[in-house]
Amino acid sequence: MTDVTTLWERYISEQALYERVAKAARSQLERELRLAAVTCELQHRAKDVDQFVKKVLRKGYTDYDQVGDKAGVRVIARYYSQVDAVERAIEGSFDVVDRENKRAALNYDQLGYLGLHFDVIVSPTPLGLPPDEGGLPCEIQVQTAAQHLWADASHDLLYKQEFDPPEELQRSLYRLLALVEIFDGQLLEGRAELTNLEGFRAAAMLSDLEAVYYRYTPRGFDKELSKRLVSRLSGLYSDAEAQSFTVDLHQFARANDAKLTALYADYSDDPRANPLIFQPETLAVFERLEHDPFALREAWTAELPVNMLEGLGTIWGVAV
Amino acid sequence: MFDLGTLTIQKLIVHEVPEKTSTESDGGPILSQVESSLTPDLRNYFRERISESLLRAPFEVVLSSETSPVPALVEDQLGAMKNSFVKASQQLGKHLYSSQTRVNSGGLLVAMKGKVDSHTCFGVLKLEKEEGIRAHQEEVDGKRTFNLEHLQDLFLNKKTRVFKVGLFAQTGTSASDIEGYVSDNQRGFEPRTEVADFFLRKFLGCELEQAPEITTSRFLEVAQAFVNDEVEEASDKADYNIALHSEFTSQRTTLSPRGFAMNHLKTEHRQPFIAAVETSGIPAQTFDKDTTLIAPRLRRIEFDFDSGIALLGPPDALDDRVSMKAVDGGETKVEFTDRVKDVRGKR
Repeated sequence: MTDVTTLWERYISEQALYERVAKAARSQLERELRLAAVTCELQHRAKDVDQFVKKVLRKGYTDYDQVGDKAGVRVIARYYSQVDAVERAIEGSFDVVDRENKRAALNYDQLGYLGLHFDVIVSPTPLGLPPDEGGLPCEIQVQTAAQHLWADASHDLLYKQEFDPPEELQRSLYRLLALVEIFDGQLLEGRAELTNLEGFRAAAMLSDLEAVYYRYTPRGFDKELSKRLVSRLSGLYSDAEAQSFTVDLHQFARANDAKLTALYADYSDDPRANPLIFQPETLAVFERLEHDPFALREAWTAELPVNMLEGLGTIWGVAV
Repeated sequence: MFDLGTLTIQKLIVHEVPEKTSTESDGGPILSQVESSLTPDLRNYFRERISESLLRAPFEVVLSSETSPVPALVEDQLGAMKNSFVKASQQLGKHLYSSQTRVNSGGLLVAMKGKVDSHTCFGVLKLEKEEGIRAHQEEVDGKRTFNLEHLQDLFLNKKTRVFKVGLFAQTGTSASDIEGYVSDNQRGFEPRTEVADFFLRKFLGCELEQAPEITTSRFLEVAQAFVNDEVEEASDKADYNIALHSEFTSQRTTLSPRGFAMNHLKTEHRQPFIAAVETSGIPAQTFDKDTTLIAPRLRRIEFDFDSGIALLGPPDALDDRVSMKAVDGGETKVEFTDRVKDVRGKR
């Protein structure tokens, strides 16, 4: 058992280290989310020394490791539908020691803080520590923007006062959680409806393709041709595939990164290169060639000469 | 099969190997002494032509011959490299010339070295000379015309008639891990003759990795299993079975599962069919057809029904006379018109 002063002194000496832990965890997670094409806001912090001591006193902790959130990262997702992808990114990046779903802990007739909390271990290497030293703990909170707004405001209004607010006031603030759930739910529905509209789907696909395309070549492309082709190619994706297009495209690019890098380098100085190589929709063509070249061929020949598709198939190494 | 999308060409050399004439005094092959200079477009051009050919009609082969020097040359180029690339290619040129007879056309022998699937690869191409006409627009006395130029030394274009390629790579740590694929667009159109087999067997010293009769028999099993288990409509099952039998009994000496899918299957069945073929280790693009093991099964097709009724007949007759249509309740209505020849009890 260790007394408060010892824990306090230890944390003063290690707070800078935990700041590095939080920053490393944030960087790793940002990279993972970027590769998965998930746009979220991330924040990180090492716990303030006074907050550390107050938590030790409040909870009666006697062991240094009982304060699990010395390093913390918060992920604020735009839409509730992103939470699954964030969870996958966390599980892919770190050893997850514990996971708590605050929403799942509530009964149907209860309102309360919603969010996901993860206790993870950050590996020693990005911290500049010897590899055999073992990792350090970090807490990761995942919230939607609306959940975060409530958590932030209620923390100020309910927990930072010098007295306990009246129950009626507390109740009125907790009622806001119902609005948070409605807000997130409506946003999800509205987004689902919007993304199923024909034009939106093709435009969103082209935007994703463009982002990946520019990783491999700085060369410009013919946007009108892209719109025409992407519109035709979008019909090759089922609803489920269209929903996961961004993630699938990034996974495809990641799995074929060396091949794509070499291909764009080999053709960059070739004046007789198939011009469609330098169109972002060709990345979708390559992906569909792996998936179903027959369906691709049928969709293609309604729009363009088949020999151009055969040429792309030859370049990618798939018979059409 | 190699991922031909990863093929890169690092070196290339060209030798001319003329056809053998009736006199003994012809000069023999004209051998290059240094590698050809490669620009990005030439490099990509050869890469695409090799890929295109191997994607269209690849035959998986093993290096087997003790009479052809090619297996040893390939092993050396992919391993110990006791011979330089130039010297090895010159030996290939001499061997090609000496093994040709007057039946074989002359042309260019191209050797290349590069990478495929991150492994070093060695390729051999044989190209035969073609003629062509090039046209330049010009004005004569103020009037538009085309100036024609007869070209007699074209060797490779996108529609080259005769183009043979062998590509080899060592995918493991020893020579026994050498994988090879050969494409020869003369195969499949002629019976197995000296011409059709010359490049694969006599020149390269290779044999097909799998005996054609086994591949053919396995393909029949996989294809029929797919049609019976994965195709729901009875009329589709009937059409596909008849098409299969037609494919097996045609005069072509090669069979292309991909071509079969394109020509005979509905779009939604094509990719699953090819996936079933590839999962079974059967080449999806093309293989030599040999119906020795399955000949008895090709004479007639039998349709068995839940009630115990069976319909049996030659494919042509079934195609001409029998129609099948799905009706409510998952059943199929079968109609045909014919003259009753015989009725007898059967076990």
